[in-house]
Amino acid sequence: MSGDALLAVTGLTAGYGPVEVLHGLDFTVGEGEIVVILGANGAGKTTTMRAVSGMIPRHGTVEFGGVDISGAKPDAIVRAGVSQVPQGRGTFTDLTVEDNLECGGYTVKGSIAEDLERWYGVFPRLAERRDQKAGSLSGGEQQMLAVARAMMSRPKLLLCDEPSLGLAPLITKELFKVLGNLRDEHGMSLLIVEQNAGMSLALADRAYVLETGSIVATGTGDELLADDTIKEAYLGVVN
Amino acid sequence: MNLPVRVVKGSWQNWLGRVVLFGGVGLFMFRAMNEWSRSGLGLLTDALIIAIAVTGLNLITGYTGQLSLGHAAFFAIGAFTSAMLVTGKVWSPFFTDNIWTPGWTMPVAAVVCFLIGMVVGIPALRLKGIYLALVTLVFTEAVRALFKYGEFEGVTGGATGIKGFGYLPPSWTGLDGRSDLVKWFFWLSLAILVVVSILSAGLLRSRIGRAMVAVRDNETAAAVMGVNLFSIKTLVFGLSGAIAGVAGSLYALKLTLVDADIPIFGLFGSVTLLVALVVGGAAQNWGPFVGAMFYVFVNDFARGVGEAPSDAVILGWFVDSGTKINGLGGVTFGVLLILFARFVPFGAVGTMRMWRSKLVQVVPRVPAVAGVVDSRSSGPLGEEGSGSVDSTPSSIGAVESPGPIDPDRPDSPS
Repeated sequence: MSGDALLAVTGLTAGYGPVEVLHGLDFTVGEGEIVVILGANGAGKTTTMRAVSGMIPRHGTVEFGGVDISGAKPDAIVRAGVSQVPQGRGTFTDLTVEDNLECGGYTVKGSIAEDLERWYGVFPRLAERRDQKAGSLSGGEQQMLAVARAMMSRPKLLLCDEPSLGLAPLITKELFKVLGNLRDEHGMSLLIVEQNAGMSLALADRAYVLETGSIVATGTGDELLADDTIKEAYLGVVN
Repeated sequence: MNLPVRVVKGSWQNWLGRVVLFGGVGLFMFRAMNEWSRSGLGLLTDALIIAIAVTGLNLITGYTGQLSLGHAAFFAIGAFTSAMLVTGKVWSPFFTDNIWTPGWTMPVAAVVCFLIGMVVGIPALRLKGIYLALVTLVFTEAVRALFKYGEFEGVTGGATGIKGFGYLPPSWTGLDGRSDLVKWFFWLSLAILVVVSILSAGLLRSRIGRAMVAVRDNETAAAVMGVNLFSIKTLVFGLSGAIAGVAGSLYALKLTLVDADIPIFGLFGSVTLLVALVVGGAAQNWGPFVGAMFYVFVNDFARGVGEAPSDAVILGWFVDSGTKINGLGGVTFGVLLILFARFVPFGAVGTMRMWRSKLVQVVPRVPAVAGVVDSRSSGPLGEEGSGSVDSTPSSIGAVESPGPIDPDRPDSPS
């Protein structure tokens, strides 16, 4: 753990109506760190993301940059510096690429022209297609758009909800390279929930394993990659 | 020449197309005013008034994706606001005389409808889809019941409504009082429709407009972009109600009476507006205009068939002259609507766009970004040459590099 945690979550419980999905999670994300939460279908990955970003009612404490944001509304959390790439990308298909990015900068006061040029520089493919409807992009391009759009709100922490979902392995690889690049060159902290253990653990500084709403294991990415139970459960390697 | 012809957005050809379109519609309006009969021009004016209300509905239902059956209520509130102000039925605190001229009651109607829209929207827009439709439906009927309520008879006219007001053309128009009344309302409605359409287009191009479409396309993603879903929906509901209110106000002044039993002030009106929106094309800038024209003129045609079935096409062969068939007008309109839905999907404007795109396509300008060479032809949506090599392979945006494993490319083996 590098210094003070940027995001510190303690005793997080959340669910839908009477059903409790998360049973008290504790995890942290440090400055400039990539943390992966690994989990199978139904483990509570998306619920974790929703709980952190304030989309569903939650209990426990969520501290961001030393400030308690447990009770904050989604837009206040975005303003505080937490941005999200939602599951399934969530690009606004009827808006152009540029409009999508401008939506990403919705909470920014003042001009976002420089942000646009900055992220067009990082994602030249989006610059080429800035006037095209987002729905006409390929899946990989849309995922890039979703990442660029999330960066438009000038966040300190980026939440990625299963970014590899529905992408071919080669494109997933490119995407994880982009995410690593955000940490290395743009000083971002990332919290990624994934079920693609191989690629995400290789990228992660630290990782947690989530099973039916509880964290059952934690360690560095490499440690977990070497762990036999993880191999068995997520990588399909049986010893 | 290869079809479709590609026209770059913002080029002179693109502007020429727009000038031809607006010029054509303008010429049509001009000829209608000079050559059409009074009743024909009256119908056209009705269509324009409905188009104004549908422009409002388009904001909340078309662009923001929130189904409202409550816009007839705003229409009625606008109409009654004007009627009550013009006839001096409302207590005014500062003036002993009634200072309201008919024209000035329209912005008042807009403000009243905006405020009521916000108040109703605060609880209603926490609901989604069919539940929102139900609550707004109840709102329509509740407003109608309030206007009929006996205790308020002194203000709203109760069951008999309010009569005896109107809006004569001001002298600066050069129109001659009563004889040019039809022309006056035609011009007034057209002017208001143009202003409302421009304002609505401006709103859609703004930050709020983008947020509206974002909310419609993906609420979750919009929320995590920091869009406050609830405030956006409520604000747009208020604005769209205000526009419908102006239309109602205009409707009352043209009709010179209001009465809570007029069908368009009730659920029928809400459905009318919704039908016009869907027929014209939801979330299309010309949709409300085309939809309202369709609704009014096809409805009029259907009524004509109902009144004299022996003169109608095909049907006339089977019906003796002078025969009347109850409800035939409604049935005819219904059948035409079903045929329309079957053969003109995405609304009239959407379908016209589809046809037009086979002849002419407006393509975005190719942006000049340093270091990026567009390796594709100037093709529009995703018409990339297969096997094109990305010119910036080192950049991390070069995701969709050539290769057979893009899951979204239809021609890839999967």
